[in-house]
Amino acid sequence: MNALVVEDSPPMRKMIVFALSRIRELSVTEADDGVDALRQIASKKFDIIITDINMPILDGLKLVKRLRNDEAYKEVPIIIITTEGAEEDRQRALALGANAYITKPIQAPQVMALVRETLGLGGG
Amino acid sequence: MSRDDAESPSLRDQTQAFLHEFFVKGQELIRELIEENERLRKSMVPGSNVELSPTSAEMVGRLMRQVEELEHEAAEIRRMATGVQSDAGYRDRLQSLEDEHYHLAAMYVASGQFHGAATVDEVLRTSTEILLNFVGVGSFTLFVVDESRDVLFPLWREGGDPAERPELARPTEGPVAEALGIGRAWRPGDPMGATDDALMHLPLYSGSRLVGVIRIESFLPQKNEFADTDFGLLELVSGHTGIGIENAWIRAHAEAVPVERQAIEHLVGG
Repeated sequence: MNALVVEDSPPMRKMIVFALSRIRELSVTEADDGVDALRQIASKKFDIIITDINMPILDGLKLVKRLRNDEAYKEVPIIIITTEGAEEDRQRALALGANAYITKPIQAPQVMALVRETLGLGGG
Repeated sequence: MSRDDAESPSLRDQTQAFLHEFFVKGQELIRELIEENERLRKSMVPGSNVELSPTSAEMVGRLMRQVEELEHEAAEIRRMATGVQSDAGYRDRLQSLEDEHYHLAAMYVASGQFHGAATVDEVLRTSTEILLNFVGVGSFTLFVVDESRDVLFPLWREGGDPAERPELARPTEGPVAEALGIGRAWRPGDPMGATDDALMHLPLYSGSRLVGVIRIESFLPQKNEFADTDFGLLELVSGHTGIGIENAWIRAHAEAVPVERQAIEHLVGG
């Protein structure tokens, strides 16, 4: 299975990739922002997308909207990364079609568990 | 509370329920034995050789089998309880290793980011990302030492405008002075420099040179206190932010000189 991590903060992105790389069934690709994500999506099919909301150029909300308008990504699970205070962004992303959210500061076990659950993968 | 902790009361409840049932059955068994004994005593004729009736022998046999079954059941429950406990211990250990693994990865990522930060902006961005995303700090102000005027001035603020913060005279006493006066990068166990308006004053050192201080003012809403793993990251921020700002300062004022073999070899071992 292929996962795409979209996050403009390099440390955050690396930590999410680190967490997801612990899931043996996943192959993880990184994107710096929404535009980079669309570029990656054009060349590869992903089974799950984990994206930050606040990013330059094309933010996470616009990315979710674009993906849900794309026939190939209508049903692909999208997990958004938000801060605790960003309730409005979170609600908008969920309304646009995101499946779940993770709140910063993230913890690897939390990310792994949510991705496993979303993809219907077994524990451990 | 971990999942294992949550399961422990359930195991205790099961064990208690089993023991309760065990003793109730034991009481029944004793009562039946006493009744049987009474019946046998009444049927005995003094001086005669009374044998147990087939019914009594069956009863004793059945009771003995019940005792054996109960003992077997108890042994099985004990074996299962031991298994669950050792499994819980294993899972605790696995969780602890996972946490340690994650912590080391966070330290590794943070160190790599600091080493790649060449400008003051990059150093500030890296410090901010680590404090916000890895430690869970909600707001802070980074002050830098103005060595000419011997004051701390606000350079960067997360959660507000740094201009809203006044300059600070270098403190000479109190918790902040104690935190800043350690003479090197902060380590776990050093003074936290907590005040009424700050959770911590994290000194920023480059070697023994005090470069600045980060006043940590609040956590993110979902965090209430520092976790053990935060202290390693704070130690890293204390040293690397100080060195990063100093390096960026030197770099900004350095003259561009081409690298030459003889000159650089001269520096080796110097």
